Amino acid sequence: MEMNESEAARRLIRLKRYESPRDEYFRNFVDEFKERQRSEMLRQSARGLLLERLSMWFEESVGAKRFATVGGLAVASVGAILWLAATRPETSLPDSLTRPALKVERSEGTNELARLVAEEAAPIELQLPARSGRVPGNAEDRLTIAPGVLPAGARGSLREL
Amino acid sequence: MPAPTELVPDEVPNPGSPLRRPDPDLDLVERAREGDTRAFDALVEKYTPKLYGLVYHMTSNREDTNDILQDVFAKAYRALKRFRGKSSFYTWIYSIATNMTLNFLKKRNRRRTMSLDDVDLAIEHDRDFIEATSKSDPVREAGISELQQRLNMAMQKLSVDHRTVVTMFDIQAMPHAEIAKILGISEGTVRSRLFYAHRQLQAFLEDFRK
Repeated sequence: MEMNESEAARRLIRLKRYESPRDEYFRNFVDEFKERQRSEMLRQSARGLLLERLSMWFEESVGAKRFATVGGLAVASVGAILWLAATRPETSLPDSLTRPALKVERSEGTNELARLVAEEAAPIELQLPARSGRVPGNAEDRLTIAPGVLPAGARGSLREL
Repeated sequence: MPAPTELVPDEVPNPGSPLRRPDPDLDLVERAREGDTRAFDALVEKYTPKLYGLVYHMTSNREDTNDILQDVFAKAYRALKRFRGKSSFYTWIYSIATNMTLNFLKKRNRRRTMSLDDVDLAIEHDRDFIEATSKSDPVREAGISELQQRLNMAMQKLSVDHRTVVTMFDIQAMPHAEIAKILGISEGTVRSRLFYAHRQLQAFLEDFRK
């Protein structure tokens, strides 16, 4: 029963094959296609022609030798600019040179070490004797020793110092 | 089913290749590949009616059908150099048309109005039509124009996959094997889709058949 109903629906759908355009449609369709195809081919050939003419103009107006010279010069210029940019001296010292060699952490265990290092790194002051105009060995520089502390013989030798 | 985005399908070799019939279009295809535009025009002329039917019954719109068909042949012409003759030209171009139509239907607005061709008056002499009008009052009373509207509405209610197999099998009378080859699916899948599509059509046309 269901098969028959399904078959009836199929028979109705099959009637759709009677829907079709008029005969002239198919003739016009082929003509339209030819026109489209021809215009596409013309577009492609126009593009090809333009490229061909451009390449011919390039070959004629800029000869191969001249092109090689100009091209070589251009490549050399670009190379020189790049080389100069790569080898230009630095205006400031690199970071590795300005950075302290030993970095001291401010922790409890290293406080003493830090202090020692800071002392080491502190600039050494040149300590010169103050100018007094005095000549060493003067009587004023003699060691004054209380009488009776040293034996009599030793006094003389001390005096010589 | 092949991916709809791939518009120029790979050629599907015929399983019985040693015994298969030579492609009747081989000469025209060879000449067209060598740049003979007249040979390709002959192929266009030969296959336009068949491909028109495929696209039209899937879209129910004659303007869309015309545009899709122009694109199908233009694409086939450009891709002709890649055609190696592993399948027949007919199968190859049919696959292109199917894929392009499926792609179009995915993008098309669902509310697109139908634009139908005239119905050939030869329908009045068709046995199925005579039987339908004699058995069913609604069909007889509706007239050809309304019958056409109802059939197209029912087709558009089907999913695209189901509509494709119904178009190929019921309207274009293609065998299961050929449909399977064109769609890149098994014959079992074709039969299964047809079964469900027919059940749906039966439901859509229920009130019309009684």
